[in-house]
Amino acid sequence: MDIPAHALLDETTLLRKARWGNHAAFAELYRLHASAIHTLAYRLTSNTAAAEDITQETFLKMLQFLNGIRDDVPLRPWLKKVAANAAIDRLRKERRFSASEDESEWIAPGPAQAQEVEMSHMLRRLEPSVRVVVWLHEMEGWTHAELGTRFGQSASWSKSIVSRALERLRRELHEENQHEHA
Amino acid sequence: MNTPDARLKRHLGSMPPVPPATDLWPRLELARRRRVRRLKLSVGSAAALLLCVALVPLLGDMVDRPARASLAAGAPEPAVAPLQVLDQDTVEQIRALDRALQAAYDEGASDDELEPIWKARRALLPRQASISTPITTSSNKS
Repeated sequence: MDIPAHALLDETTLLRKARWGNHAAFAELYRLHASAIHTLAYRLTSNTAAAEDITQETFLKMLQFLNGIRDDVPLRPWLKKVAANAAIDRLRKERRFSASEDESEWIAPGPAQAQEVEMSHMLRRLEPSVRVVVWLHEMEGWTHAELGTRFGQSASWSKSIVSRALERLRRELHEENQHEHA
Repeated sequence: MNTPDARLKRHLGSMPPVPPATDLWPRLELARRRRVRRLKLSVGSAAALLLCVALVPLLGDMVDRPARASLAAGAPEPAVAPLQVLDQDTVEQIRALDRALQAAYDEGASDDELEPIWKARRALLPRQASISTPITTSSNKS
């Protein structure tokens, strides 16, 4: 994401003020980034309550580490990393993470319904850990090596998960397009 | 570029943002205030501890003073104490207290809440003075 220079300058000032306990600066940083962080958390969890918890946790962590956060680089990547890690930790705590490569196991059960053809619904039908791996790789630029490490697996495990999930999403998208044109 | 992969990525990227519920900010604010309260409490405790630590050398200095006076046997004490140089540790502690004071003022803390922090800050200076002021004895005068 491109961030204009003036926004970065403003963010630097806001971060510095927030470090001194300036409440308005913290509120402004929240206003600037809350939507992006909540959206990411929601894409990873497909659960509103979990997304809100992760967003709250992310901003509280920002508050906690204000003195250690660099103010000469954009804040959002740092916030996104924190939110993504929180989502992965949550997955692992809930034991919903499956290392299985059997497609019948890593796709959540339930028949595809007509209203679930939209992209968000396609994503929601993916098994939670698969959805996280796919989204972080495709949309957030995480490498297979990073994903493998974070999940305690290998890079080729991540590669395989992404490849098969994309294949499935492509197929569903194609079917949806055909359905629309019919 | 219109490969299936690119199309898919475009679809993923074009999904609308999902803004948080409006009550998330008040919840976050509440959590932040709780954290500031906890911080104040711990700063207060740290201040009390610092005060105790600061008092020990001061008391020691008061106890030693008559003995030093008799040893000095007429040798006059310097009229003006040498300029104090703060060590890095003390400077860091003062800075931390300054930050806590700043945060407390921004939060609209009461005088009662601020006093322990100020007390801790004041305590750091006499402590430093007692440590860095050279003790004049007859043995090092000769």
